[in-house]
Amino acid sequence: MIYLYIISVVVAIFVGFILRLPFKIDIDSFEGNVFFPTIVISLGLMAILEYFGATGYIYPILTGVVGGVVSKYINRLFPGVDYGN
Amino acid sequence: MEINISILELFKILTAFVVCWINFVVVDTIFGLPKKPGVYGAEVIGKKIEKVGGNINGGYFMGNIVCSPDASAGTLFASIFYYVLGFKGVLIGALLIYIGNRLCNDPGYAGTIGTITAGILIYVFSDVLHLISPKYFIVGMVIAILTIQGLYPQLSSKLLGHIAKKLRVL
Repeated sequence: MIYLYIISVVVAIFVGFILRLPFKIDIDSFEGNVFFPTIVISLGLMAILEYFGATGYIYPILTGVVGGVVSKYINRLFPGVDYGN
Repeated sequence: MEINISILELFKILTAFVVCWINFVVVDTIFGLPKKPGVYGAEVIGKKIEKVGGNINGGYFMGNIVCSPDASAGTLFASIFYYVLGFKGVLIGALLIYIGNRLCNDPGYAGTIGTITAGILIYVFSDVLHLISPKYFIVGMVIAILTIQGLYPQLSSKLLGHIAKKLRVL
Protein backbone atom coordinates (compact mmCIF):
# COMPACT_ATOMS: atom_id res chain seq x y z
CA MET A 1 0.00 0.00 0.00
CA ILE A 2 2.96 2.31 -0.50
CA TYR A 3 1.07 4.39 -3.10
CA LEU A 4 -1.25 5.69 -0.33
CA TYR A 5 1.75 7.21 1.43
CA ILE A 6 3.17 8.68 -1.77
CA ILE A 7 -0.17 10.35 -2.60
CA SER A 8 -0.40 11.63 0.97
CA VAL A 9 3.06 13.25 0.84
CA VAL A 10 2.45 14.78 -2.60
CA VAL A 11 -0.92 16.25 -1.50
CA ALA A 12 0.63 17.55 1.75
CA ILE A 13 3.46 19.34 -0.09
CA PHE A 14 0.98 20.72 -2.64
CA VAL A 15 -1.32 22.06 0.11
CA GLY A 16 1.69 23.56 1.91
CA PHE A 17 2.70 25.26 -1.36
CA ILE A 18 -0.85 26.64 -1.86
CA LEU A 19 -0.88 27.96 1.72
CA ARG A 20 2.41 29.80 0.97
CA LEU A 21 4.58 28.04 3.49
CA PRO A 22 8.29 28.89 3.08
CA PHE A 23 10.56 26.52 1.14
CA LYS A 24 13.59 27.21 3.31
CA ILE A 25 14.20 24.68 6.11
CA ASP A 26 15.32 26.42 9.33
CA ILE A 27 16.03 23.92 12.09
CA ASP A 28 15.89 26.59 14.82
CA SER A 29 12.46 27.93 13.80
CA PHE A 30 9.18 26.89 15.36
CA GLU A 31 7.23 27.77 12.20
CA GLY A 32 6.41 25.07 9.64
CA ASN A 33 7.74 24.97 6.10
CA VAL A 34 6.67 23.11 2.96
CA PHE A 35 8.49 19.88 3.92
CA PHE A 36 8.44 19.86 7.71
CA PRO A 37 6.26 18.98 9.56
CA THR A 38 3.79 18.45 6.66
CA ILE A 39 5.38 15.13 5.63
CA VAL A 40 5.61 13.75 9.19
CA ILE A 41 1.99 14.62 10.02
CA SER A 42 0.54 13.30 6.75
CA LEU A 43 2.55 10.04 6.89
CA GLY A 44 1.72 9.46 10.57
CA LEU A 45 -2.02 10.04 10.08
CA MET A 46 -2.01 7.86 6.95
CA ALA A 47 -0.28 5.05 8.89
CA ILE A 48 -2.92 5.27 11.66
CA LEU A 49 -5.77 5.20 9.11
CA GLU A 50 -4.21 2.29 7.21
CA TYR A 51 -3.86 0.37 10.47
CA PHE A 52 -7.62 0.72 10.91
CA GLY A 53 -8.22 -0.57 7.38
CA ALA A 54 -8.70 2.65 5.40
CA THR A 55 -7.41 1.97 1.89
CA GLY A 56 -9.55 4.25 -0.35
CA TYR A 57 -8.04 7.13 -2.35
CA ILE A 58 -9.94 9.70 -0.28
CA TYR A 59 -7.86 9.00 2.86
CA PRO A 60 -4.40 10.05 1.58
CA ILE A 61 -5.93 13.23 0.16
CA LEU A 62 -7.57 13.91 3.52
CA THR A 63 -4.39 13.30 5.52
CA GLY A 64 -2.38 15.40 3.07
CA VAL A 65 -4.76 18.35 3.47
CA VAL A 66 -4.70 17.99 7.28
CA GLY A 67 -0.87 17.81 7.19
CA GLY A 68 -0.60 21.02 5.16
CA VAL A 69 -3.12 22.98 7.24
CA VAL A 70 -1.68 21.84 10.60
CA SER A 71 1.82 22.75 9.37
CA LYS A 72 0.58 26.26 8.49
CA TYR A 73 -0.84 26.87 11.97
CA ILE A 74 1.58 24.70 13.98
CA ASN A 75 3.01 27.60 15.96
CA ARG A 76 -0.48 28.56 17.18
CA LEU A 77 -1.40 24.96 17.97
CA PHE A 78 1.83 24.21 19.88
CA PRO A 79 3.49 27.58 20.48
CA GLY A 80 7.26 27.57 20.94
CA VAL A 81 9.08 30.16 23.03
CA ASP A 82 12.62 31.46 22.60
CA TYR A 83 14.86 30.28 25.37
CA GLY A 84 18.61 30.18 25.78
CA ASN A 85 19.39 32.39 22.78
CA MET B 1 13.57 -17.50 37.04
CA GLU B 2 16.39 -18.70 34.88
CA ILE B 3 17.76 -16.52 32.09
CA ASN B 4 19.40 -18.21 29.13
CA ILE B 5 21.14 -16.00 26.61
CA SER B 6 23.32 -17.55 23.95
CA ILE B 7 26.52 -16.01 22.61
CA LEU B 8 24.77 -15.31 19.30
CA GLU B 9 22.02 -13.34 21.05
CA LEU B 10 24.60 -11.36 23.01
CA PHE B 11 26.34 -10.53 19.75
CA LYS B 12 23.03 -9.39 18.22
CA ILE B 13 22.28 -7.20 21.25
CA LEU B 14 25.78 -5.71 21.05
CA THR B 15 25.43 -4.93 17.33
CA ALA B 16 21.97 -3.39 17.88
CA PHE B 17 23.43 -1.32 20.72
CA VAL B 18 26.20 0.04 18.48
CA VAL B 19 23.76 0.86 15.65
CA CYS B 20 21.31 2.61 18.01
CA TRP B 21 24.09 4.52 19.80
CA ILE B 22 25.59 5.84 16.56
CA ASN B 23 22.14 6.71 15.15
CA PHE B 24 20.92 8.74 18.09
CA VAL B 25 24.20 10.45 18.98
CA VAL B 26 24.91 11.50 15.39
CA VAL B 27 21.35 12.72 14.66
CA ASP B 28 21.06 14.59 17.98
CA THR B 29 24.49 16.20 17.53
CA ILE B 30 23.81 17.28 13.95
CA PHE B 31 20.53 18.91 14.99
CA GLY B 32 22.31 20.96 17.62
CA LEU B 33 21.47 19.46 21.01
CA PRO B 34 24.91 20.27 22.49
CA LYS B 35 24.69 23.90 21.32
CA LYS B 36 22.12 25.30 23.73
CA PRO B 37 19.57 24.16 26.29
CA GLY B 38 15.97 24.13 24.99
CA VAL B 39 14.31 24.64 28.37
CA TYR B 40 15.33 25.69 31.87
CA GLY B 41 15.64 22.10 33.11
CA ALA B 42 18.22 21.25 30.43
CA GLU B 43 20.34 24.22 31.48
CA VAL B 44 20.21 23.12 35.13
CA ILE B 45 21.34 19.60 34.18
CA GLY B 46 24.11 20.94 31.93
CA LYS B 47 25.50 23.26 34.63
CA LYS B 48 25.29 20.53 37.27
CA ILE B 49 27.27 18.13 35.07
CA GLU B 50 29.87 20.83 34.44
CA LYS B 51 30.11 21.40 38.21
CA VAL B 52 30.85 17.73 38.93
CA GLY B 53 33.63 17.69 36.34
CA GLY B 54 31.95 17.08 32.98
CA ASN B 55 31.66 19.04 29.75
CA ILE B 56 29.01 21.80 29.54
CA ASN B 57 28.02 21.00 25.92
CA GLY B 58 27.74 17.30 26.67
CA GLY B 59 25.68 18.33 29.71
CA TYR B 60 23.31 20.37 27.54
CA PHE B 61 23.00 17.35 25.22
CA MET B 62 22.05 15.13 28.18
CA GLY B 63 19.70 17.75 29.62
CA ASN B 64 17.92 18.16 26.28
CA ILE B 65 17.51 14.36 26.03
CA VAL B 66 15.88 14.30 29.47
CA CYS B 67 13.64 17.32 28.83
CA SER B 68 12.26 16.46 25.39
CA PRO B 69 11.85 13.31 23.26
CA ASP B 70 14.78 13.69 20.87
CA ALA B 71 16.44 11.07 18.66
CA SER B 72 17.12 8.88 21.74
CA ALA B 73 13.42 8.51 22.51
CA GLY B 74 12.83 8.37 18.76
CA THR B 75 15.13 5.37 18.35
CA LEU B 76 13.45 3.57 21.26
CA PHE B 77 10.00 4.39 19.83
CA ALA B 78 11.06 3.19 16.37
CA SER B 79 12.31 -0.13 17.82
CA ILE B 80 9.12 -0.75 19.80
CA PHE B 81 6.73 0.34 17.05
CA TYR B 82 8.64 -1.67 14.42
CA TYR B 83 8.41 -4.72 16.69
CA VAL B 84 4.64 -4.23 17.07
CA LEU B 85 3.43 -2.86 13.71
CA GLY B 86 6.25 -2.94 11.14
CA PHE B 87 7.40 0.11 9.22
CA LYS B 88 4.05 1.95 9.38
CA GLY B 89 4.42 1.81 13.16
CA VAL B 90 7.62 3.86 12.75
CA LEU B 91 5.59 6.55 10.94
CA ILE B 92 3.00 6.59 13.77
CA GLY B 93 5.90 6.81 16.25
CA ALA B 94 7.39 9.77 14.35
CA LEU B 95 4.06 11.62 14.59
CA LEU B 96 3.80 10.96 18.34
CA ILE B 97 7.42 12.03 18.86
CA TYR B 98 6.71 15.22 16.91
CA ILE B 99 3.72 16.07 19.14
CA GLY B 100 5.86 15.34 22.22
CA ASN B 101 8.63 17.57 20.88
CA ARG B 102 6.28 20.47 20.35
CA LEU B 103 4.85 20.12 23.84
CA CYS B 104 8.43 20.33 25.18
CA ASN B 105 9.39 23.56 23.34
CA ASP B 106 11.49 21.84 20.68
CA PRO B 107 11.15 22.50 16.92
CA GLY B 108 10.99 18.73 16.41
CA TYR B 109 13.60 18.03 13.73
CA ALA B 110 15.95 15.85 15.79
CA GLY B 111 13.24 13.59 17.20
CA THR B 112 11.29 12.90 14.02
CA ILE B 113 14.31 12.49 11.76
CA GLY B 114 15.99 10.27 14.37
CA THR B 115 12.87 8.10 14.50
CA ILE B 116 12.72 7.71 10.74
CA THR B 117 16.46 7.00 10.32
CA ALA B 118 16.24 4.43 13.15
CA GLY B 119 13.23 2.85 11.42
CA ILE B 120 15.17 2.62 8.14
CA LEU B 121 18.17 1.05 9.93
CA ILE B 122 15.94 -1.51 11.71
CA TYR B 123 14.21 -2.29 8.39
CA VAL B 124 17.58 -2.88 6.71
CA PHE B 125 18.93 -5.08 9.53
CA SER B 126 15.75 -7.09 10.13
CA ASP B 127 13.77 -7.39 6.88
CA VAL B 128 16.43 -6.88 4.20
CA LEU B 129 19.53 -8.52 5.69
CA HIS B 130 17.61 -10.84 8.12
CA LEU B 131 20.36 -10.44 10.72
CA ILE B 132 18.87 -8.78 13.81
CA SER B 133 15.17 -8.78 14.63
CA PRO B 134 13.58 -5.60 16.10
CA LYS B 135 13.38 -6.92 19.67
CA TYR B 136 17.18 -6.76 19.95
CA PHE B 137 17.04 -3.08 19.02
CA ILE B 138 14.75 -2.39 22.00
CA VAL B 139 17.36 -3.92 24.34
CA GLY B 140 20.21 -2.23 22.46
CA MET B 141 18.60 1.20 22.76
CA VAL B 142 17.93 0.81 26.48
CA ILE B 143 21.62 -0.05 26.97
CA ALA B 144 22.64 2.88 24.72
CA ILE B 145 20.67 5.37 26.85
CA LEU B 146 22.14 3.76 29.99
CA THR B 147 25.70 4.32 28.74
CA ILE B 148 24.98 8.00 28.06
CA GLN B 149 22.85 8.96 31.07
CA GLY B 150 23.46 6.36 33.72
CA LEU B 151 26.93 4.88 34.04
CA TYR B 152 29.36 7.77 34.35
CA PRO B 153 27.96 11.19 33.24
CA GLN B 154 31.29 13.04 33.55
CA LEU B 155 33.01 10.81 30.98
CA SER B 156 30.01 10.51 28.64
CA SER B 157 29.50 14.30 28.64
CA LYS B 158 33.16 14.77 27.66
CA LEU B 159 32.73 12.21 24.88
CA LEU B 160 29.57 13.95 23.63
CA GLY B 161 31.33 17.33 23.67
CA HIS B 162 34.24 15.83 21.74
CA ILE B 163 31.87 14.32 19.13
CA ALA B 164 30.10 17.71 18.78
CA LYS B 165 33.46 19.39 18.10
CA LYS B 166 34.44 16.68 15.59
CA LEU B 167 31.14 17.11 13.72
CA ARG B 168 31.68 20.90 13.75
CA VAL B 169 28.41 21.68 15.51
CA LEU B 170 29.99 23.97 18.11
